[in-house]
Amino acid sequence: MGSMRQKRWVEAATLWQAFRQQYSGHPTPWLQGAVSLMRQGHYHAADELLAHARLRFAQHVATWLTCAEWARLQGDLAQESAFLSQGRQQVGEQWQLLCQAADLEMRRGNFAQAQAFNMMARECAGERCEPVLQAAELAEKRGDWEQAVRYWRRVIELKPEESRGYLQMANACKMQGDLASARRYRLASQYGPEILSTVEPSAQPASLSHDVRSRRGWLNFAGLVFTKAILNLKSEAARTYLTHAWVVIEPLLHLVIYYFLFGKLLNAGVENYGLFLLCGLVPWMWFSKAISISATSILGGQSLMLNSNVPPAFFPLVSIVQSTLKQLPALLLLLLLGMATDPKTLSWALLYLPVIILVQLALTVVVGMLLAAAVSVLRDLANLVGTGLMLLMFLSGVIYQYQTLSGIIGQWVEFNPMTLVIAAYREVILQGRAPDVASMAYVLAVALAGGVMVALIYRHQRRHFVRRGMS
Amino acid sequence: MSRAFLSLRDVGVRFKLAGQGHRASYFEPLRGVNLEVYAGETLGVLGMNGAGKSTLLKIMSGALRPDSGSLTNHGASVALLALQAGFDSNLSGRDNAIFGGMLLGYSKKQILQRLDEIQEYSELGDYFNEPVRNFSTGMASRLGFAISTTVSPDVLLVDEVLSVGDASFRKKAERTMMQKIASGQTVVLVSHSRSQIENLCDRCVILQDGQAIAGGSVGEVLAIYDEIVRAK
Repeated sequence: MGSMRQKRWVEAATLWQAFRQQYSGHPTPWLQGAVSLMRQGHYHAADELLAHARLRFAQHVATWLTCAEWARLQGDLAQESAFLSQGRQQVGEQWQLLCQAADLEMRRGNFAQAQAFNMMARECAGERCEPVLQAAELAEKRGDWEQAVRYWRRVIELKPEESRGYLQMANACKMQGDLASARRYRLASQYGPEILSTVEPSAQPASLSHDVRSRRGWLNFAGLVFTKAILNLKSEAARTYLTHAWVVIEPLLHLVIYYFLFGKLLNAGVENYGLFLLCGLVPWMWFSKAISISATSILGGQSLMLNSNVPPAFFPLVSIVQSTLKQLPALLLLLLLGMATDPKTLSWALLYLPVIILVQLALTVVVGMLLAAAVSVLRDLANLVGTGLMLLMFLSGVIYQYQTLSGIIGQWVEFNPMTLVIAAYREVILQGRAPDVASMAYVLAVALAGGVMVALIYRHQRRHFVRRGMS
Repeated sequence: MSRAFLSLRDVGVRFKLAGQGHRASYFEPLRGVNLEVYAGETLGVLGMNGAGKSTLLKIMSGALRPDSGSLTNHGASVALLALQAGFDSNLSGRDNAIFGGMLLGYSKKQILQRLDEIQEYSELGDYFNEPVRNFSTGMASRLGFAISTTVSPDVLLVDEVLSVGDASFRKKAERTMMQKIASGQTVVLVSHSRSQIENLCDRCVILQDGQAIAGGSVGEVLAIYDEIVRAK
């Protein structure tokens, strides 16, 4: 009935009148007609229709409910009560009538009686929500918040889509002093009931900063470093057209240039100088690239350190792993070249090569991490890294035989671990000999001593790695 | 009161300003802040721009150490909800999600299992496999939020990040956040929105001139806040 929905009561009353003639056997035109008249204030006319309805449609709940409403609107509580009990006699104990009776008793201030009616209503209503809702309101009126919470919970169970239940529930929880639940239900009323379903994290992540000493923490950290190193390489490759081919092309170009420039044109009088040179250059390029990018790595990781729990050691380690992965093909190229040009390369001594590589890796990690820490504290050092590496290259016997250096410099150069590492590569690849055990042990000792320093610095000085600022 | 996850005692932070001249001047975003974060609560942090709200979160997360006073973490895992932390724009959404998830403490295996979930939540579709540089700002932040929602640390620090993406995604993000709060996640929420704090928080503090002003109830603190705003 559009006109009733739009509250055009006069029009509705006329329509219902027409319907009464057409469908005289149905209660609806009588009752709705009465409602339309009541809304206009014509109580007397409404009463005539209702009296007719009581005679003809006494078996309909709606008849008695409408009559009760008529009495209620006139403020006649006794009459209302009479209609309701009359209705219950006619129709039987019916929840709508019982609820209305409870409501009436509530208005009379007769809570015990109201509760009794409500309980009966709930008993015969089964899964209906309204009597429970009334029970909750009754409990609230009595100030019994514990009961109220129970009933509102039941209302929510019966009608999870109704937002009012959540709001009332929130209020009841709040009155009971349970603020957390109150907020839960308040949010549910605003954002929908799905919010109440708890989110179950399927796996608890390990916190990087706290668990780094546990085994799982270590594994996660190592995984993080390797993943990031590989992703960095991928990212680097994505920026170029030839992508991954550069991993081979770049060192190959290097090798070719040095091989021809120094080995063929400027032969320094060393036997097989080209290969000699490459044995120095390839390990040196690895070392130097790893150091130069790890030096500024902590500086570059400022925002990540501020926004996550990642430990500072992450940054230089990623740089070193990244450049190691990048330089491995060059090392392979060197070996192939050696085997192709010099029969001495292919010998059992090659088995020492992994040991030398590991020793160099240890040295690189220690130097790289120390430098990264130093640069993050004193940025100015970053400008010296390039020059320092250049100087170190000349002091490491990369392009000459360090034994030929005379005087005090020659003696000092022997203390440079990189000199010894490069000499070891040459012994294995050029001469097919095992490397000098004493010098390898010395390099390892230097790396270990540095490693202790690294551990101390990174464990205790984290605060100095993070730049302070508002951002 | 339930047990405390984090306790801040007289926390102060200061740093040098690169001012003109030789005299070094210092700026102190926080001075003598005493604060407790209890298990299961939602703590709101209000304050003007530059009041030190973000600095406070960085102290709580452990990224910054206080210059004076102390932060005691009673064995809780703390994470800042930082969208797009560590994003590499040359890598695909997928690769960024893998690294982002690992950064939050998952193993690679765990994060690979969740990739589909992240892709679906971010609503990126096939763009998920495109480099992030081809993303719009909204798409990138959607991905960031999708990665971040996979974590549930003991204490979640949230710095005004509930405004990501378009209206419908914002609604979804907000809903997810509310779900976390409703399910008892401990949250420290920095917000400029008074109504948001009022709606979500059990407790609230104001940062003003480097100090924390606390009060009995959220309502009381908000009244103080209104006064401060009016005095401005």
